[in-house]
Amino acid sequence: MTTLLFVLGSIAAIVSALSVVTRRNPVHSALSLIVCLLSVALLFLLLGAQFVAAIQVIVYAGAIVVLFLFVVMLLNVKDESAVFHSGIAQKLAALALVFVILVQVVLVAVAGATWLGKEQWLAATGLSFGTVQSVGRELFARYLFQFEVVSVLLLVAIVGAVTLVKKKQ
Amino acid sequence: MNEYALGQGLWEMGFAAAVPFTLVALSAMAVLLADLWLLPSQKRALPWAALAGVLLSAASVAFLWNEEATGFGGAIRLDRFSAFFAMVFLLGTGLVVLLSSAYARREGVERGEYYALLLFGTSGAMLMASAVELVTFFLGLEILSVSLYVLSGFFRQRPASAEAAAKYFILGAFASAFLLYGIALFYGASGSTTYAALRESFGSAAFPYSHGLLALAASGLLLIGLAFKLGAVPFHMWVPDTYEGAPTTITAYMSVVSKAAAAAAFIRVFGASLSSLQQDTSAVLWVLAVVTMTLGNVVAIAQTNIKRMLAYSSIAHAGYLLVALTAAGEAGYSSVLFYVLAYVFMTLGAFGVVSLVRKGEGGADAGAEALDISHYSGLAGRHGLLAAAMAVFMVSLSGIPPTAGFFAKFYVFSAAVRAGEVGLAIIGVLNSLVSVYFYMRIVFLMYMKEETVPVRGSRSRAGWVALAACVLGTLLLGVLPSSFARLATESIASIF
Repeated sequence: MTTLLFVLGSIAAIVSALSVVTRRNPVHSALSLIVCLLSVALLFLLLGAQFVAAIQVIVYAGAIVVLFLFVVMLLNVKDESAVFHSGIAQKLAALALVFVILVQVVLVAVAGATWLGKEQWLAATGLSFGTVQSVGRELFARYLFQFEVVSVLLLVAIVGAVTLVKKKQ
Repeated sequence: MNEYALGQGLWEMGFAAAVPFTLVALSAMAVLLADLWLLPSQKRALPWAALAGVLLSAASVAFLWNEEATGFGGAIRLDRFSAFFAMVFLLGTGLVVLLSSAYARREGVERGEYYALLLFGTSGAMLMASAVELVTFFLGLEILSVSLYVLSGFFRQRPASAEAAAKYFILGAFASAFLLYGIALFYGASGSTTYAALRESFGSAAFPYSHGLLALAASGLLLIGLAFKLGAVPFHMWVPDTYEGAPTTITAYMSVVSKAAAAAAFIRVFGASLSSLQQDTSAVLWVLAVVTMTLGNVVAIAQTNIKRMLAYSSIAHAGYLLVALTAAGEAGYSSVLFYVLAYVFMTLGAFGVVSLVRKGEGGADAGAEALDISHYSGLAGRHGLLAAAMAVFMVSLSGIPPTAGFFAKFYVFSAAVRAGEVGLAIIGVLNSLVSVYFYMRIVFLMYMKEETVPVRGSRSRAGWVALAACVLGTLLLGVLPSSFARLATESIASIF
């Protein structure tokens, strides 16, 4: 059952990811992105990482793609070729970037596994990884100070944004 | 639990390490709130409220001067190094607040947000210098950067200010992405974000990636992010435009506090934690130092706007800092600390004079800032004290004794020679010779030429106090450098 779901989720993720870059209509691309992110959320669920799955749906599939759609509709883009002119050089550059990132992911995974040893590596990414409990424990115990400092950063950003757009009294 | 036990418990958790940062952030919020209740006629109290926050935090640093504490599971550390940089940032902020009290009112930007963002920026800089964990360091950097993006665009009606903010923001966001990428790679390789773990992993020969591609890529990305903040060539594109368009007091703040914070973070990450990669980073820094010094000094010669000239001069000074960072070792890093302290006085002073000088009666734009270098012709005749102060700062910036700038450069270049970088030291000295030309041109104009455009100096008492403090600091560091040099050496010793 798990294997079947995994295969289905992966296929859906890959197909929709390909369709994000191949669709000409930007709205279709954005909708495919939602499908892609939802299938990745399914993969996270299969790994037992419910919190990451929920965040994936709420933040990425929800907020961010909706923001994309807003921009696309506000700008009223019918065909992406009207905005982007992608030549062969750009496609090659994109391929190279994908390759670099892929190599990095593998390298980092292998490096972590060899250095920490298989057991520790599995412990770090073990069963509790990505659950609400483990994320909460990390966030409010080990990274408590950083969590609090983020609030200062957000306050600065809010004050700054209001300062820059507020009408002059 | 009685009071004593509670205090003891908090102390053991390392709360002390976060006290100076927290006090500055809290006073920023207090300034924001005070702004809501103050009547327009009472807004003059804002800079004093901000200054009180600065003094409060400085008092806490002084109180904790001999303490050492690591707080919150190794996120933030209080030691002599953090304390030294906290004092430098607070000194810089205090002087900028004094200079701003007249400048901001005249330019119509005397609002609570101005002082609150200055204090927030300082809290970010203090976090950068005291962080011993990459995420904390990154948050400090972002707090400082976001405050500066907004402050550089504070003249909303002026296109130059908007351009300054937009350029700084877009390039800064890009640099942050590089930095974050580097942090992610370090985390991926070592499984932790603390500096202690970095030192342990990358210092150990058994670690498979201690000298591999991953370590080099990660430190390269981190270096790009810091070089951007430092304004080093080739990551300097934003410096001239942002320095020119931003409010003058903010330019002064940017060039002093954000550079010092980048240098502090650099020493903590590369000097104290990734010292095993020192040979590789020094090779890159050598090149950066040479191009940064040379481009800064050569292009500064051609400038006609004084803020642009000082912007290129600040690029050149970032180059001298890079010479010291290339030299590395305790001598190199302690010369960075001395340089930063000297740089606070002389640069803030120079920008302070610029912020106090305006165009006088007679022109169509009377009261506007006098930013053209030619406006300084004959300043000595009308405003002898202002011209004398400017002359002291120019002499110090070009590195002539008996001023702070001379000993700052002397320590940097002698550290480079001791580290075997004789070539670099020679290039640095040649560069200082080039810089004498454009610094002395201003002195020449002020004392030897007739006035072309009538200018007048501000009578702001706070501004004059700040200038006097800068002159005093510049001369004190130039006459009695040894006790400050000892302070710098002790501070560096506390992190190795």
